[in-house]
Amino acid sequence: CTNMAGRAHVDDSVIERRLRPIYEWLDTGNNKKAVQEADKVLRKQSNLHCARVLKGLAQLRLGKKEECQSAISAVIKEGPTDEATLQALTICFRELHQPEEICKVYEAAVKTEPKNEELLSHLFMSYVRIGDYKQQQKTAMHLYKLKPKNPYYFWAVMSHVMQAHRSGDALVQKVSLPLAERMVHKFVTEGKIEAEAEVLTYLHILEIQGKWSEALEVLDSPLAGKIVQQPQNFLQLKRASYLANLKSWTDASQVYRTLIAQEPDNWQHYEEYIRCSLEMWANNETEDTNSHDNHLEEVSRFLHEMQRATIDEASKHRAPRLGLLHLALMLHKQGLDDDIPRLAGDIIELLYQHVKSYGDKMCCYGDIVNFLPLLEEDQINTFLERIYVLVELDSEGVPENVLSIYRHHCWLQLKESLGKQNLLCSKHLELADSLVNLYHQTKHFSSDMAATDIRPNDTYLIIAAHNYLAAIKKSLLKKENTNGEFENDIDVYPLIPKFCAILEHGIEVSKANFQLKLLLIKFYNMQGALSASHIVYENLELKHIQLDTLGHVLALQMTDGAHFTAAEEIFNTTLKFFMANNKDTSDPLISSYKYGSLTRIPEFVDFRERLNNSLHFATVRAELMILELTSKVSSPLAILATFSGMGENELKIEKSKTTRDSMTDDRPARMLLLWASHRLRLQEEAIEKSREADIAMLWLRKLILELLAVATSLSTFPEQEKIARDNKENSCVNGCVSKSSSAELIDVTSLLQKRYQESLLLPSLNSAQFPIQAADISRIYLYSSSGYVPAIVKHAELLQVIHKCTQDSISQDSWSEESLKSSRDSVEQLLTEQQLVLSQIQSRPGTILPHSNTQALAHLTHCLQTVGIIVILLGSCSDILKPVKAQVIKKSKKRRDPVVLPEMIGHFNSYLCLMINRLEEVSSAVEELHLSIEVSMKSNISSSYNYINIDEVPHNSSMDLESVCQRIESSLLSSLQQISAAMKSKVKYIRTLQL
Amino acid sequence: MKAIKKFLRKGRFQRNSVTLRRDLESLEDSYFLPVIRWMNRQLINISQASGRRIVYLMGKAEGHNENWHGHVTALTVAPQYRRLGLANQLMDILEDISEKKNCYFVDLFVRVSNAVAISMYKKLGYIVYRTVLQYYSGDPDEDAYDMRKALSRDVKRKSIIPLNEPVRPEDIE
Repeated sequence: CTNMAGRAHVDDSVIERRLRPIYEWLDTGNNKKAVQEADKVLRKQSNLHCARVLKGLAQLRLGKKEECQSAISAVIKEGPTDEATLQALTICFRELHQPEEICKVYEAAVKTEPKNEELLSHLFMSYVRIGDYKQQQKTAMHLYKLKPKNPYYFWAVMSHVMQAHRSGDALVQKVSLPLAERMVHKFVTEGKIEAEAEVLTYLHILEIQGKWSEALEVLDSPLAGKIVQQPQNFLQLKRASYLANLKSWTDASQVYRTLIAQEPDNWQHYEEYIRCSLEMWANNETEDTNSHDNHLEEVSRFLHEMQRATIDEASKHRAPRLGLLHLALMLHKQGLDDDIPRLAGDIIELLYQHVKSYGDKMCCYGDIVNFLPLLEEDQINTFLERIYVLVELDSEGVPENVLSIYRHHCWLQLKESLGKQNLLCSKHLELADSLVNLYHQTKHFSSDMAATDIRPNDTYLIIAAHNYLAAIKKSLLKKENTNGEFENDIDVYPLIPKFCAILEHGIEVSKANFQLKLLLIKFYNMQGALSASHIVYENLELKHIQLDTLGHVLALQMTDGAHFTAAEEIFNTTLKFFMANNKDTSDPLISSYKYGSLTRIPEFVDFRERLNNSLHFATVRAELMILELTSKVSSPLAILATFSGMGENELKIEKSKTTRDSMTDDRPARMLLLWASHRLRLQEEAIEKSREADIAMLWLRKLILELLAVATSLSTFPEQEKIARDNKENSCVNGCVSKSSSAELIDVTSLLQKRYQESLLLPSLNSAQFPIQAADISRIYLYSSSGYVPAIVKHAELLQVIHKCTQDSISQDSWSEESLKSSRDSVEQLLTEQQLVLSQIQSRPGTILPHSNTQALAHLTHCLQTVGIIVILLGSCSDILKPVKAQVIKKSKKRRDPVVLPEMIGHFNSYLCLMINRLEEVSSAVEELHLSIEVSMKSNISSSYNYINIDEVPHNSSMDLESVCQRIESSLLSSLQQISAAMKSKVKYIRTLQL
Repeated sequence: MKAIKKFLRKGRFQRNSVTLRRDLESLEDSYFLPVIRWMNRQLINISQASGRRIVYLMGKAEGHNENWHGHVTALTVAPQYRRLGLANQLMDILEDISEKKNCYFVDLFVRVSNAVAISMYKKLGYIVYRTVLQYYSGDPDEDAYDMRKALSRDVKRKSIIPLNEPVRPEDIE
């Protein structure tokens, strides 16, 4: 018996005692000790499965992946069935990211012990992990037949539901859901329903099929009595939503009305009540015209009543005070503006009353912002004046206490939102300065606050920052558009480092304010000062999902800004989160089945998929690979190793699971507070355009990676290539049909060319129109603006030619120097352009035109990476040419002739020489620039940057204007240093390719 | 979305993933034990501006026998919406559900430095049951208070007799 082989004839409790120390070492993360302990156990009992697997696990955690693999596969061959071993294997495979192997292990175990309930349920869970719903369903029914327990039955039901979930296949939807419904219905009629979760599952199945009346029937049946552990309003909310879906507006609004009476501060009830009531009115549900007309009055009366009750009771509830405003907004949306005064009352008065009661809370502006469109243009001034009276400032215009700070903020935000948009640059700056002053004048109010609290006066800084941004943007726009309105030139650039210093101070005081940190990153990024951004970024402490949603503030910017080491670090942290996603979402999924939270399952699955399809995830993955390939590569084997880490199918776009349309973008369009949002429709469109452009960029980068993989395999496995070619298209390599690499190379090259052409047609975006408060403008515009992709394409074509010419001696004659010319030209042009790019770099903080350094560094990086990619392609060429040269030499030696190398090799060598020369020219220009900046930085420091002629607001902060300027300069130095180092290492590598 | 990350209780998570034994509850025991992670959707959502979620609470019911209790996994209120009583409203819902689930008590962990939260929970009737040493990883690690409130099922209020000695994270559960 294999089982006995693994466990020998030792008592279970003895085994457990022996294993315990291994678990403990693993638990405390002491993997070395765990290995030692396992060895100790194995000396006593050499064959103990569990100890062998645990040793493998410890080795895996020590980074010895292969040892782990071989240890566990040896155990698996012996067919373990004991719980502990199987659990340990599960963990190994989870950490190896091979969840499908867990299924195999349990499948084998179940074969040995088909009646083992526990093994079967683990098998079920292993299918849950990989989302194999069909197998889940089979296993669940198998379990139910073995032990007729309700949960097993409902596992099967839920597996049917999940088959339909997000399945694009209409047939699956049509079959699976009714099947699930019938299964539950059968249990209902047989009176077998036991638990609340089962009823909830039933409702869920009916809901997703839109069977609202059936769902209502369940609520009216005794089954509803099983629902006892849900929040109080659960059944009513369900009923109301079913009624609304059935368009029984009268009944639905009645239920919502009851709910409002029960929970006067629950806002969602108001929204639904008003929606249903207006629908009822619009659909003219009642025949009687009189009651029809009266209906809206009735709604108004009820909302008035709720409002009055709240005021009378002086309760804290905000929802009842906003109900009438929401009614007005909905009437406005239906074009019933004439009815607003009669039904909702005076808008200004309602808004005024809300600010009067809640103006001293931070939430006030957020409460009413949606209702601002209700104000007529000519009412705005009156409204703002009335609100201003509420603020209560002292004789110098400074708030007297914290409450009046909040009221002031509310007023300022309303003014930002409603005020004139076409302010002059100078007005923005004036306002910003006065807000910074207010910030300083009110800081004593927050002196005794806890570190984790956001300071009440921070909002002054935030609004000031947005006004600075507006001023900068306007001055940029003016530069781009000389016909613009005339305005006395104000030099805004010295203000950028000044404001960085102010924000640095703000962050030092208010450590928890992420808005300030995000803004500061934007300010530094604008100047290309990425190492300064990086310090703030670290301070943000992004975790988990934030790496997806906020990762766009500083990830790709780091590579583009030539901070390669830091970029790699950020990329790796980000990828770690995404890779763990599968494991981390499996656990809650499994618990949901185990503990019967069945209706949560689709939510977890959606969450998992959303992360898997994240645009940011895919982009970071591709960029990290390109970064590694272009910065570290020293041999074709290293390239292949990089690719194998990724998995081939991921690489090949056509085969990859993630399609373009399913890409999800989790970056909130508005991560930063933004006022005047209801006037920025245009910007919303710009954001959407930019997102599409980002996807196009990703596709280009993935194609480049695919190109490199194909090129490398072409030169590394010439034998395979030969077999493939001999058998035409249908060769068999390792049992799978594969296209010859040379054919693939041609395909990928032309596809890359095509996508590049498409990218040129993307609607252009002007960086000055793009909201700085959203994610950055897509990188593709800069990338496609120069000859990066064309140069890569040219070299892929060169590889094709060289490969073709080396196939036999006759083809060699088809070679001419012309074949190289266009590749050479493309590289020469790129490298020449960099001299111009370098001349555009502005090194003096305070005079840096926003975005100019950022763009210059991005061009340098793209050039560098393009050269890196080209060099890999040339590496393939060199590998192909090597045997040709060797053969010629061999032949010549035999005949004692002088060695006459084919022309091709000579041309290739001289091309490499030229490239080395050009690269060295650029890299020494970079070094020169570096040197000159170093010198000027020294003198700037000694003169305390006194060329920046602005009055610094005095504050005692460790980060003053000087330190900010130093950070900006040293960041630039570091970028240039990394660029020249990378160029030098490229030169070194190219030398090795010479034949 | 945000809610999910809170499932990964800091620090503890790594250890849990390897603690084979703890996951080994046989199906028999946990057979539909009504341990439900409820992510409450009845959040009092009054930020019409963006439909942004402004406050959330995650909780679960767990434990065996007299240790069967409601646990607050996470409670967060956006800065702009603090001091409006929103946290209280969510705690009420959680306590209500815990009552319905026949729990003995509700508990939660809070940083010892988080004075605002501690005083809020005290106002809601929670007491400091014990101190858990270095529960929050960081530099340096920080201790947690395990705060509790007895529910009606715990007639003798046994669950809230404070422990005098602090415990280590690995000893709780």
